[in-house]
Amino acid sequence: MTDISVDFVGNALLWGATIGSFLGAFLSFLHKHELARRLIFLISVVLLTASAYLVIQFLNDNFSFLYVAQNSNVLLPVYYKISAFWGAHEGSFLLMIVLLSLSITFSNYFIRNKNQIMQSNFYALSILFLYLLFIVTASNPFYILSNPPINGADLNPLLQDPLLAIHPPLIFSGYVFYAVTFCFVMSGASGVFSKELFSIIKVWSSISWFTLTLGILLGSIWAYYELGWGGYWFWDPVENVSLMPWIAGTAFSHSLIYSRTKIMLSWMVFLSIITFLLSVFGSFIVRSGILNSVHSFAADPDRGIFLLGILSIFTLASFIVFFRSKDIFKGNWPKFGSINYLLLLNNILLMTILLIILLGTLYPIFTEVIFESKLSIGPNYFSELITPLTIALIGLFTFEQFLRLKGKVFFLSALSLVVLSTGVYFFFEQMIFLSLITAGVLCIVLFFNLFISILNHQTSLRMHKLFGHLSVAALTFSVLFNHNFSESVDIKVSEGDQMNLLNSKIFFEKVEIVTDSNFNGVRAKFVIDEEYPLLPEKRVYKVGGQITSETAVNSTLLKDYLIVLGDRFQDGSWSVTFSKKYGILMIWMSSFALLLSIFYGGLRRQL
Amino acid sequence: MRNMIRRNRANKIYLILLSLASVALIVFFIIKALEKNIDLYLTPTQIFSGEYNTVQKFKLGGMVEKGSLQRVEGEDLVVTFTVTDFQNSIDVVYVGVLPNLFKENSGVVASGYLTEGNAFWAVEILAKHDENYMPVKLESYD
Repeated sequence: MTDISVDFVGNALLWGATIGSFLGAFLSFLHKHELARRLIFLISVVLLTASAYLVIQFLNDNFSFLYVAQNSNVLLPVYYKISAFWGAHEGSFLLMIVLLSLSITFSNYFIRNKNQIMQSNFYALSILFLYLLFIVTASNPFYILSNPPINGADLNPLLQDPLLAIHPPLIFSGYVFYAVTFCFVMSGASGVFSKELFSIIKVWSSISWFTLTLGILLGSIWAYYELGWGGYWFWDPVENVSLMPWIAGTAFSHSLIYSRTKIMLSWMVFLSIITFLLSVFGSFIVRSGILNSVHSFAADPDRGIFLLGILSIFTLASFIVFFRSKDIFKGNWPKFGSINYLLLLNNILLMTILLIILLGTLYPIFTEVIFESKLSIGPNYFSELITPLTIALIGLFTFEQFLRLKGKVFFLSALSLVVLSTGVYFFFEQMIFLSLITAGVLCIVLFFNLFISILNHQTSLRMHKLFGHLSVAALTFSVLFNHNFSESVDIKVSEGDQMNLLNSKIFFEKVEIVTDSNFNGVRAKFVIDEEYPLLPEKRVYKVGGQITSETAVNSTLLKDYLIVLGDRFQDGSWSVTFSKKYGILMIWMSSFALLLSIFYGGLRRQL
Repeated sequence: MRNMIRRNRANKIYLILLSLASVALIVFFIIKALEKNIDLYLTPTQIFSGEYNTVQKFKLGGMVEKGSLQRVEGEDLVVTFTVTDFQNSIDVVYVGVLPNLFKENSGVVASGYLTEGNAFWAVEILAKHDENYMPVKLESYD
């Protein structure tokens, strides 16, 4: 019989940090800034030590630690032993807390002005305290088995991928940075929004936006190449949960631009709160077992109660600050047709998209809890509702770029015609195709605008905006392009077979056996159209015996060829899925272009 | 002055009415799309109980019965198997490549339609991750 006890060193460190953050929040409240500053430094050292301690257990294959035993294995390569640290809920949460304490320390290091940082330290340390309380009571990675197993259970094979080693920490970093941004916004809302505070908020919001975008993009790339289902976005609950703070954060970043006018200020504070709450929601719910999805590898519904508790504390506290603030509710609505007005419209559109995703994600959870009927929402729900809104969004920012031009009446009428016809076709099945054409037209318009701006040397200040908006339009176009044209077919083939499928010639050359330290498998060789080789694999992992398929992908600019190896039949032939996916490379390229513009837009303020 | 106040108030009322109308419109579209895209999860017992809508596409969930997986001779890629919830069971027909996680005696979710002969025609098969991914040895510690 195995008993589970708590590890002394790990828990002492965590409890130390918990008490420290409580004390720090208290000291900041009492305006004892210097003491709090030192305590913050101490807390991040303690938390770093705690994580290093856990990583060492992973490297030493110390399976007396329950968390190590569940997520690692002797055969695992060293780099995956390190990334196994955040392979499950407990570790990812510890990582997030470390990141939070580090970001608070960095803020304190760079911002010397006491008035700017004291208030935000109070909020940040309170958040840190609640998180730590959660980790020591409900999500503790430091449990010890009195009777340790000889070997661990292995990291989930799907997670053994270089992209997946960095995707979750990036998402978590994005969440943490938004929490820091939120703390500065709150300090402004409970005091004064000075010019310096605005620039701090702008820098942090750019950092958060960039990190979260990169995290989501890498997750999407991982899903496409590693999961091998031929898709990059499934409207899966866990994906939605990370997309929601991103959308709110996008609206937040845009509202920051003109936040000096009062009406945008209240929006800005509101959006910052929403972004923060959604990121808290996201960080708790991923891997908590509440969502039934491909991503929930371990389940523990008890944490759900904790989640609701902390979320309601945060919601209550931030809205109390929001509504008590005197400055926020002054000011008039922006003038019709002005830039502020368009920004507000953009925010409303983004909020609508957010609402759609939120309802689609939560609805199955509610029906299961209340009516005990299990159901899921198909991806069509999301694409049907969000496509026209996204087209409207692109139309809006395309229009905005011509606001100063004389021909705007003409442009406005042309645009409304396009939007109107999209709306009419919405009721017919033609929507995707029409949206595709609209996005394409808008793309061309934006591209020429960028081109003309470069010719006229007007770009230095607006480059990130022109380029960023163009890449969003291009991204939308490629997503629709992919959606509209991609095809897939299942076949049965033997070695040496040649056949024509989806207008391509497929040649099945051979199958060979491959082995590695932690799996055995087979690798097939196909040649498409006599020039693109594809080498799909099928692996059986030595520990746990899980079978995975390694999809073979060959990318060209317009389309990708994919082959997934299925089962082997008794006569030696194989079942195989062959797909053509259009525009995948265009999706990645436009996403990276978007990332670049976010990066430049954030950096530009610092130059 | 008074005129301006009055006009401001009228503007505000228009604005509130407009936003209410648009919220109503959005909610209407959301509910419509939700209704259209709901996939019910049903067990074999629920399917045969007749209490649920089985005319439209739905998702069947249960265990793949041991020894029931068969390939149809002469027909490429056609497989049949039985899904059970240990009270009732239903035969499933599927054409295509089975996912890696698909195993006998393991959980499965198939989306598709009920045929006239009370079999299930699967359009898509999603094998479930072994409830919580954890090999046998460690489960005893829980």
